[in-house]
Amino acid sequence: ISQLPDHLICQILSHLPTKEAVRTSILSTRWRNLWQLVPVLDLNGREFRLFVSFVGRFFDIHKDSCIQKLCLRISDQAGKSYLTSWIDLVTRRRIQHIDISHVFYRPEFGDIPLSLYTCDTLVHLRLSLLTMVNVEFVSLPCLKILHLEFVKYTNETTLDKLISCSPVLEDLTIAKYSEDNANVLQVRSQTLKRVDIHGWFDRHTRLVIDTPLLQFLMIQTHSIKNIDFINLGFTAKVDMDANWLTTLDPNDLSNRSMMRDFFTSISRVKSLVISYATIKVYIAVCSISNLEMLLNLLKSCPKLESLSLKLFNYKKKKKAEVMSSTVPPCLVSSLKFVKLESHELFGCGTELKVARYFLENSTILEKLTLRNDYWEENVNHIRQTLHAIPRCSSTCEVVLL
Amino acid sequence: MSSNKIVLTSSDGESFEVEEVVARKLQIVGHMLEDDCVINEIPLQNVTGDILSMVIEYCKTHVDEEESEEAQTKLKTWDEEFMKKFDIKTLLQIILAANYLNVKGLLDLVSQTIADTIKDYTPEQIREVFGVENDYTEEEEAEVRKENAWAFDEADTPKP
Repeated sequence: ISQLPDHLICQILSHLPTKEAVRTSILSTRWRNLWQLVPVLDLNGREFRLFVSFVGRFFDIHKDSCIQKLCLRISDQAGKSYLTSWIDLVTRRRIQHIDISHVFYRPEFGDIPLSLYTCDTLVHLRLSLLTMVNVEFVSLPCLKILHLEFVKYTNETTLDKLISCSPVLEDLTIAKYSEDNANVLQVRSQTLKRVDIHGWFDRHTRLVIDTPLLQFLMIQTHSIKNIDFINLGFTAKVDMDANWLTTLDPNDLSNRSMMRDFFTSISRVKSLVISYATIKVYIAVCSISNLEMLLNLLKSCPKLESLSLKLFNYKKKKKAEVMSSTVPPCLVSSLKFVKLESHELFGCGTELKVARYFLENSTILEKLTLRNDYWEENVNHIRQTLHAIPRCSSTCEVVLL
Repeated sequence: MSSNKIVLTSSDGESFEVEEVVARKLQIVGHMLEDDCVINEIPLQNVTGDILSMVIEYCKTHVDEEESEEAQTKLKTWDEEFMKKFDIKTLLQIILAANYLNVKGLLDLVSQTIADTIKDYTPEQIREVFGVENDYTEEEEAEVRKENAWAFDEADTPKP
């Protein structure tokens, strides 16, 4: 390895945390100062003060050169003042990648200096458990990837500005902090391809998605009431994890209309969509009466290709049969994959009923997958029952996981 | 992109016929093709046939980099499996080849793989595995340790 040219050794060292890179100085005289050529500062600080003087030295060494990446994991209070000055420093060294996380429970400390908001070389920014101050002006002309996890804002427009003032942004991940002061999140971007929002559990905050080039959308939420889809792109794949719907009472009319509105908004987008697009939807079917509702909802998704259902918390064993008079159009024209998943211990009657419906009515179904962790002893019974169900699609494969 | 075939020849005379799109993943080839578009046989002086075949295997797999989540995950798994096939000596040859042939994705992948190995070892183990000869005197070594004491604060016990 010592025969490799310096720049290749540095290339290898740049993939190591700084501490490990510095440790290679002990290998031999050749290695003594090689780590100093690596333009990456990646520190995991249980005791921040230990490497404060080292960081000073590092910045000295790189006085005249670029710093590619600054990655800090901070877990003590002492870091606050340094953090601000370090970020200030690297934004003047053509920094491309900043990744700062704080391992406390609440985003209480670590104000981000204003220089970060106008850094014109930054490509990749990840912040976790930090507070972002109010800014008037944001300009991040190179930013492609933005990950904000449990970040608090002193003003909710900060987040909107970050998104709208990043003209080449492609990838946005937000893990929402419940007290982050953002009541409306406007995801409006002409360039975003991927959006992943989790922890959207507060029923009072609104989310607006207006992203014409979107390819992948993932939202984890338990309320879909406050989400507005304005534009989702022509080929967007929507992965909606609405597990939390289990808490809903299926007989509650307002919840039913909320779900219908949500599906309608998706289908409105879909109606713009060219035929090969897919939507993947996770819905918790809390009782069999919801299945009836599901079929109604499927009617508003005429181009659905893949459906994944999670069945759980099935308490009241209502014996309601699936009686829908008309089959949703997607079952005839687009639906190819159905997956049924169960998470709790209960009889397999519901899955089988749902499976039967799709097997009997889906014309072009390619694959039906059933998954349940608890039914070991039932497997044979299920296999036989499934086998006996007449299939509307002759090429359909049934898989038990 | 055209489906022209291009012949790549290694330093030990082994020839590989590949699609032009695959060959272009080797940026060194890409540049040659831009300079003179009628070449269809390219000699590559600094890489042997066995290593070149690995590089080509990588380029073939990465030839159309789709952006979908599934495609990305699949490629990542493939990368991991691909790297598992090689011992340290081969990895070092591949990093040199990736650098010479200018295949950025492969260069990153191999660097990461080697870095992960280094991360798991103590300095003594690194010397042994990578064949690094310790030419420090005892005093010098102590001095280096002192210089960056914070990086050596944990005992150099081998990690499991």
